[in-house]
Amino acid sequence: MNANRHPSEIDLALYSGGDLAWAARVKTAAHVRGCADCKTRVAAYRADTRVASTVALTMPQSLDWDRLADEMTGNIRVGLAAGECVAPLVPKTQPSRFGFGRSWQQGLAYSAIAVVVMGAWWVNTPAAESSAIGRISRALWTQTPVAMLAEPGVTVEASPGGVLVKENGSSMALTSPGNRPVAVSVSLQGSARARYVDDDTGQMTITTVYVQ
Amino acid sequence: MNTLFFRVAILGLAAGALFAQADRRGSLKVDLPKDSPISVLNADWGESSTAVRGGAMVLDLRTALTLRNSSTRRIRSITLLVQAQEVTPGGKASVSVPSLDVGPGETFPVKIDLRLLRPASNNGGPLVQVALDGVLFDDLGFYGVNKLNSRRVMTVWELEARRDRKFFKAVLEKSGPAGLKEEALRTMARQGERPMQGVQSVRGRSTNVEPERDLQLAFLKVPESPIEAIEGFAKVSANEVHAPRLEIRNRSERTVRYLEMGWILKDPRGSDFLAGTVPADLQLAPGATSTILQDTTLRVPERFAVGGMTGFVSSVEFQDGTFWIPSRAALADAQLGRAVAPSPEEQRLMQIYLKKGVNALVDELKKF
Repeated sequence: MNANRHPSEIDLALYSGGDLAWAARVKTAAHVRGCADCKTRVAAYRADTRVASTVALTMPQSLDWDRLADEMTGNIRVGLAAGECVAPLVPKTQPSRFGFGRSWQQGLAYSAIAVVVMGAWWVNTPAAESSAIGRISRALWTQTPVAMLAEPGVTVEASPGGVLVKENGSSMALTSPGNRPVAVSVSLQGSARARYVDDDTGQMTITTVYVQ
Repeated sequence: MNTLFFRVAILGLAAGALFAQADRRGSLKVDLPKDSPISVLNADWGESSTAVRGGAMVLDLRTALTLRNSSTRRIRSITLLVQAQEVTPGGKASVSVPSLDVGPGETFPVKIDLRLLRPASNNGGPLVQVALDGVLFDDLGFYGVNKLNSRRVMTVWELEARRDRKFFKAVLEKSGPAGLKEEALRTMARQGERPMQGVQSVRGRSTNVEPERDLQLAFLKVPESPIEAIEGFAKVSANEVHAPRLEIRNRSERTVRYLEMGWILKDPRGSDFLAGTVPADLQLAPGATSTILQDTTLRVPERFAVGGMTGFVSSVEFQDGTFWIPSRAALADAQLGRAVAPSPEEQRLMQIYLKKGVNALVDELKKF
């Protein structure tokens, strides 16, 4: 193989530690498999890594744990005392006139989280369940006597958007994109109906959904 | 090597696109009986699509079927049964095309625009199955399984169509195209006065938290109606009407086996609209009385408070299979004419006038 096309030393070092990006790793592995020189270099890097790791994990023979703990405690106390000395010189964040405390960034972050949560709710929760939760919340808030809070079964609906049958979060809707019905109605026996008329041909289409 | 990556990526995307198309095509199955008077000539899948929303899958089917009349009679109406059993265990749907005039060998289009929202798991079978529920011919003959009682519904549509064509032809004969034009304008003005609201129907009691009150129902008198409404009550809470109860009497000389009443809801502020119908299967001998009770809730938008409810008889089926529908003379009554929904044929004819003018309407009436 042409020496000019060998991977760079940096790439070989990163490859030996498994730190190359996916595409470069695949490319380098393909080269190393067919190149004795680079294979040797990679093996050397890996051997060095093992040695360095062993050295780093080995504690000095003369380490005095009690003395080390005393030094750390002392450093912490010095740090706290120094902090008390300079504290009055550090300007405090002025509370906003709305009284939200010292960090408007926190408020912004909480608002962003709230928007994300509400967006996820809006996207994933069926409208019927949101409506039911709203009604229950309103009843609890106003302490209205609750006549009955039965879970509705299959619901059929006719609206200017079309007809819909829904149950347990699943639904089937018959619509007519770009076309409003000329009449809608429901039957108390359990069906909903919408009529459409084709603008060009005048052909009528009537869609109906039924509760079985 | 980079070129190879691009090739693999492009192949993957192409395979994904083909799979998605195949998935959409496999989402709908049209199943017609062997002796069906119609056959599927073509199916256009248009811009059908699937998408995942959270834990649910949304399937938008935009299908245009081209059907051919394989029978020897003229077709007046057709009803297709649309089922998604796995999606809505309690529901089914239909797509009907009334006011047709399709001769033997002729073709006509039927659009099915359907949106399914269902759990993302899929067992691999077709999501939506389309079957033939019924076909009504020009001699009022019927073919089909009639699971949706489409024979009755399509027969009423056809009788209304004949009534309305007869009316407009009489106007044409009496007053010429100018008179027909004036009548068309009056008809469209009446259609435009009819407000449209979203309405829900729920089995049993709904999730309303408001206390209920009893409401006495009012009735529009239709002198020629074979059924007389004596009195009625319903439970009302804010924007919901629950469990209507009606007492009726058969004042005809024939046994009645089916009745449909239309209902107008009124707001205390004065607005009203046709909210729905109460159909009832019964066996009502001449002179006999009966009580109709539906354990169902009718719900209208929350901005609308139910202050009153007025009913009228919209169609009756007798034991011998014949029907009664209100005549054009009865519909001339301002209150009834505003309450009763225009027939599909009247709306079709008015669309022809609106788009093509009075001469096209005259030509259309002369076809029948």
